[in-house]
Amino acid sequence: MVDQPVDVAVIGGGPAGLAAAIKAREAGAERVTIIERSESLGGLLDQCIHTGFGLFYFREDLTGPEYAHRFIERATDLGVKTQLETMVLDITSDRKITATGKDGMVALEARAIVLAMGCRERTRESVMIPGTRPAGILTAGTAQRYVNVDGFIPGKDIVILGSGDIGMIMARRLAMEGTNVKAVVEILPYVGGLIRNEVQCLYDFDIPVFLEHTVVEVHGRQRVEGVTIAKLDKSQELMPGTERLIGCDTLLLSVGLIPENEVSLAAGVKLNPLTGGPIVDDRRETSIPGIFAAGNVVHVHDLVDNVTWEGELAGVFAAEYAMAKAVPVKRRITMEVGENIRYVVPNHICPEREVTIYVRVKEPQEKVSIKVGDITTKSYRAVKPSEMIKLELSRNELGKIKEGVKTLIVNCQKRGREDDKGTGNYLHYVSDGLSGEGGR
Amino acid sequence: MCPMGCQGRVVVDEKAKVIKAGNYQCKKGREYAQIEFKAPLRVLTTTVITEGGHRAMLPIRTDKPIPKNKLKDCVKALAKVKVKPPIKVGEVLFRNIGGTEADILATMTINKS
Amino acid sequence: MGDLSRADGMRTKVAKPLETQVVIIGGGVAGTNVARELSKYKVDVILVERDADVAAGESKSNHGFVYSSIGILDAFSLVLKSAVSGGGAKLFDKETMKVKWSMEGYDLFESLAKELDLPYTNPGCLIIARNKEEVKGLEGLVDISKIMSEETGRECIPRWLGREEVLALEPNVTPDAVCGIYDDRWCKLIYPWDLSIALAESARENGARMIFNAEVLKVTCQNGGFTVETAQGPIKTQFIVNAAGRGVAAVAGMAGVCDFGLNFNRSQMVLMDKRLKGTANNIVFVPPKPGWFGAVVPRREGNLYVSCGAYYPTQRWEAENTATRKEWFFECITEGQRIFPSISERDVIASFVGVRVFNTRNPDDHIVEVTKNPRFINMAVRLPGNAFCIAAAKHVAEMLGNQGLQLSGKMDFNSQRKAIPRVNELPCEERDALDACDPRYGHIVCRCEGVTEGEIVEAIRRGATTVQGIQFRTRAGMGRCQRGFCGPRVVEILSRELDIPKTEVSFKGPGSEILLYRGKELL
Repeated sequence: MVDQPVDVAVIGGGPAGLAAAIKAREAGAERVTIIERSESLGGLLDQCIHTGFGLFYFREDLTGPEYAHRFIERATDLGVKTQLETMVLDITSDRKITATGKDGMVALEARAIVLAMGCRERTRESVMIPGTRPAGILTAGTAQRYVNVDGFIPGKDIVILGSGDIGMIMARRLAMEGTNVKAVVEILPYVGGLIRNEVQCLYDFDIPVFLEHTVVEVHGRQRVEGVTIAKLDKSQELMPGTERLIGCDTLLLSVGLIPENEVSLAAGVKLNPLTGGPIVDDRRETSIPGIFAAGNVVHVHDLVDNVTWEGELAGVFAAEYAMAKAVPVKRRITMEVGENIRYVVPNHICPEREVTIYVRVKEPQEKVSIKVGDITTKSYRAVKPSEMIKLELSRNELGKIKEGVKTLIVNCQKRGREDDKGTGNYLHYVSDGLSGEGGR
Repeated sequence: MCPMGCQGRVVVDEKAKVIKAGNYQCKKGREYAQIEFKAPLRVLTTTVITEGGHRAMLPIRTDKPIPKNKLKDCVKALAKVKVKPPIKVGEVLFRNIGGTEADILATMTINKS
Repeated sequence: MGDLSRADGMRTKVAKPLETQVVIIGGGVAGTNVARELSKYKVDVILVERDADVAAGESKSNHGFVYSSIGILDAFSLVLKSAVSGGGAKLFDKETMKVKWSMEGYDLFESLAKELDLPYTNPGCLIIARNKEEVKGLEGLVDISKIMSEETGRECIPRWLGREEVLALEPNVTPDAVCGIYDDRWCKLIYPWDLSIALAESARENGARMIFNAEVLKVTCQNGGFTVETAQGPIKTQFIVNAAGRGVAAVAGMAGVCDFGLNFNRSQMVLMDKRLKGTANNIVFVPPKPGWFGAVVPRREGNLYVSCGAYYPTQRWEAENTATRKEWFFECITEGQRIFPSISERDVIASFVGVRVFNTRNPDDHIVEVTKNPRFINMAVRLPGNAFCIAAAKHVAEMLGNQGLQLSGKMDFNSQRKAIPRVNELPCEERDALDACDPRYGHIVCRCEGVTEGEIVEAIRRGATTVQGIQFRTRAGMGRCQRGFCGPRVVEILSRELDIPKTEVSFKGPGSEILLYRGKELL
């Protein structure tokens, strides 16, 4: 096992990793390598054959593979190296990477690392759905791989738990492949994902949606034979007598995404319990100098465009670090969650340059103002946890931060005047923040 | 409900003629609302079986939206298709699918296995 | 299912009526122990198993204790049981088969584990008390241990620990702990399925044959033997060893030698993420209450196994019902938190229900005996089964010998079985060496457990035909993502190695195929 020196090592070849690798090369880093555990680059974009990608980045409505293709081409043109079917086992805090691939163990010494490992899906067991343990229970993303990549259909009578984007996308996909999608079951009183998907996946295909319901039991010994669903009251308790049995041979789960940070933890990177991802600053540097992070591994995104922009940030600054050109941060402001805010990314910002912050609220609210400290206020007609809010803070606004102030609290409060027109950004409908989905 | 996410409103008279459309972020929204109400269009995305490729399925799309009510027939027709690599992303596989004037494009490059 | 007869003795369809000397019914820890024991002799053996793999029933869902029937763990189970089956009978009876053969089996375990390359740990058993009532409970357990010590001549009285000592031993235990009792001498810990799998491999290597998906449908007695009708066809045999677990009474009934019934109870266990490794250093219990059990078990690779809850009596018709229940989840977690407060439902990665079997003739003991048909032996095994079955197998071989089965030792019996390498635990140089022989050992398929393609292919070579079969032999799919990532890849590998279409790859045997249709088939 020979130690290979590398300037920027990018862990994960999905949209975040690709963007980071490209920008790292463009910023001048010589040896940039992507380490990817799958057989190809693109990450999950490969299996997302529907459109909705690149609406903002390219101002085009692309499919996942088309979006990935553009970045893969660019990365190849730039001479970004890749190690496919290679899995990182460990990273030390001094950026030594141990990985394993078909050619044996791989050791890399990286001057900078970008963590871009993405997310995994929440499982049936982790949401503790009672009942038997037959074949036929799949997470939506795994089902998507079987259908779109392997070319197999898990079953023909489908019930989907969770109305986040991936659940809705698979409802449509399976309906289009000739199955009978009998129900989409959602705990909340509203559909979790993008409204565009609600229309084009559920309404278009006449798929019944059961809001404020959940699956309370799985039946079937060898294979799923049915599920019992029941209604929940306002405090999310089951309402007895509302149970109904839906016969089906497949239960698809779209119940949340969890950032995959096992490798980050191995390196000693500090995680933010509110996001499940590393604590990062506006350069996307983690608590360990030289280790950066971007994409779903930091916080669950909905639009791949934002994942790309985040990857680009991390790539630029990782390259700077690798080339020993990193500008020391003179001032650090910590972002804190205030009223009705679930999380803010990044956790720290440097107020010397413009910054984009991403925010999710805890509870849905109407006619609100989101205040960042006292430096800016943006109004929104409605906000919900499944809508990630993007706030661009200009240098002017950041300049208003008073001397000696170390934190900025982000608050979401009801607006005083009822006739305020919304000025905030409607265009960033996101997938279900509660289930923390990626919009695909 | 446009692809960008705006929720518009359309008012129609008894003859189902659009007389007023409001609440859009852009001009395109108004046109979109009219189309969506009268004859909704959708981009079709699905897969076709590949033979001898490094992947079992080739993802495809229509190059422009087609009438929503033609989706089912097009999907059925495409189900019978088998394609052989090499196929490049963007390649036109079929023209004027189901008389919709839309072409079917490959959205991924598939090499021989 | 085609005729998948393979040179290594694994068959899933019988081409023509088979003949053998001994049919073992049931591939759990009892049956596989007997198979391995008999494979030491020049005896023809066929093991038939109803399900798709060994250890399909309780042999895979027990706690994994290998215990000796003395010491606090057994005192514990005696108190628990006395509450379940009603007091009256003398609590500790050293004359029972349970005590005698469990001790024998325990004594044999270490050398067997060496032969089979079976990993095990030896965490201590710590029973804590959090209040006066529980302290009384501890005292009761110590009293029973004293009786055990006296009667068996084996020192098994636990040590009393004060609060400070308890916290030193288990820094993360509940602050409510006031004292505890501790012993690490009479119990070892394994992954329960490992034992059956290792025994089966060793037995097969030494000539035993095994047939799966072969439920026994009928037993006809003839002169000098039987014909056993299975779902895979008929087998003529001289002797039958009935080790059919939950089905032991039904099978005995088929041969007219059933003079007992079965009672069942079940409880739910929850498996927590490896992230919690280090939370517990020992197996930590709280004193049992009537029909109630509370333990947190640190498994070898770091998962916490939480088994806290009531033992629910189960009707015979429900004995196959291993569905979990929401209330049992919460009961398990809440009680687990009362032992280790850092346990959280966020860390749950799996949950399942275990069913325990007791015979009605003598619920406090096992039945392992020659029946009124001298060539038919019943093995109605209850808990604790892991250590017991090691000794029971030897006794069964002896019984068969006494009934006329010629037991002449095989000169070429190979007692050594090597386990599939657990690549994730190997140092770099060894990983590199493996990879040099077979690059598939460098290709990770299950990322949560770090399992390589090489291990999965080896598991298939050794008999795994299902996704669960791979899971139990390699750990692929047992991690936090529960086959989300490796699922499609394992299906691909099974399809390729077994040369079957992906639509025939199953989760746990026929009827549990994972992919029901090919793409476009429904259009």
